[in-house]
Amino acid sequence: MAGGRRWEAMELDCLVNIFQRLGIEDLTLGVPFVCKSWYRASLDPICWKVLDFQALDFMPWSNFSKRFMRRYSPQHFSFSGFMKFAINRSHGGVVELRFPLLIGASLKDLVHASNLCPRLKIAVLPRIMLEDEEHIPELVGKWKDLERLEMESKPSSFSEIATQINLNCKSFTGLRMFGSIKKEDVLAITKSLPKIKYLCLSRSYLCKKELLAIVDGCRELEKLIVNDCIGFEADEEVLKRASAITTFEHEGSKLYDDLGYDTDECDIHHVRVI
Amino acid sequence: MMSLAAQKEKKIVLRSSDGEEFEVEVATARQSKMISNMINDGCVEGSIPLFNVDARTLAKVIEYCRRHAGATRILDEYDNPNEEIKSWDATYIDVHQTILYDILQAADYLEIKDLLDLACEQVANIIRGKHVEEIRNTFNIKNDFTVEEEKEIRKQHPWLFE
Repeated sequence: MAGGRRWEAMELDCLVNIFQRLGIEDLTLGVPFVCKSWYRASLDPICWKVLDFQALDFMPWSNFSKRFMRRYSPQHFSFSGFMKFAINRSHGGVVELRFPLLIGASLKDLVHASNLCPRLKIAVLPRIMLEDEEHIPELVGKWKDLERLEMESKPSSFSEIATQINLNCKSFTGLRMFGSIKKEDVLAITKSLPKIKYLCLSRSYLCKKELLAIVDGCRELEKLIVNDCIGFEADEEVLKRASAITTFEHEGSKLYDDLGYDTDECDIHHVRVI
Repeated sequence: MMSLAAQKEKKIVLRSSDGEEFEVEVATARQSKMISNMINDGCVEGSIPLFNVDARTLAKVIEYCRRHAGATRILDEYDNPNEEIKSWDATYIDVHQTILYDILQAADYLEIKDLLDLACEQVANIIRGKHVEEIRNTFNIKNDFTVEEEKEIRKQHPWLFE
């Protein structure tokens, strides 16, 4: 017996303070069904500022999907519908949005997020169809408060994305992506994002020349993470040129891929481990 | 503003809702924004009555304030709470739900933001991953939904029915 402590009668502010720390799963399947006051608190937009869909498994056979179907009995359960529902709850206040890695989010989902999350600061974008990648720059450019962009691969439209960020996102400080980092990509980074503070290109194909160009071009870098890359070794010259960067991680990076895998191709299962 | 050393020497008396008096250092008392404001406004004469906090809870809250006022460096060079304080906090807040409830309410009333956040995080940790029934049992909450009302909640998600 909890004495006179009535958790259901707790002030709304305190409940919201608690619930905002929970993930989407608890916010949809747990707290709203406990009692009326908890339900009301769970509707507060503050609880929905961080939407991390990566923590959820949207496969139809997953525990989460099954629990969701049982609770809400929708005609069908899709990521798109679920995302719209969560974004709607935030009333436009989402500051951090992480798309799921394995379930394919579509361009339509991205457009929806771009239109309805105007205050986004951190975006972790999904891999979308190659022919849709040309639309990403325009969508990213709408996030005026964007501080950090993470992408599960390097989109073909990367240069244009960098340009849009330069034009529209004045608080931008961090980028993470991986793929084959070519000369034009480095040029896009140094030209459009010269003031970037955090850059992660781990698991990329990245040559020493390109790496050095980044180090020289982005003088305000505080954290550069290039672990498990193919194409360079952190030799004396690299270390010396990067010495001004507070955190420089290059673990597992080497000149050649001794396994002979095609390094442009990224293994989705590997991505998940990161 | 007095120096920290001078604040430490000066004492203030807090009186709990059940009449017990606690003598605390000013620096400790100032962890509470509410009390800090009272001190600044000069309305601290004799003891400060705290009508919403009983002796057991107040003792526990003072323990927290004393630790945090006494910590020379709460934040490290990157503005993160240092490891020592973090592990102290974790042990401190690992209490039964009843005490947790009281600490949370007291921290809210006394406006001790860090303690309120710590307590809220602990409650969130307890809730995380639990099913509805487990949550109700843990916190001794009665289901006050009618069958119709619960149905209503399930239906309020038009996006799921596209």
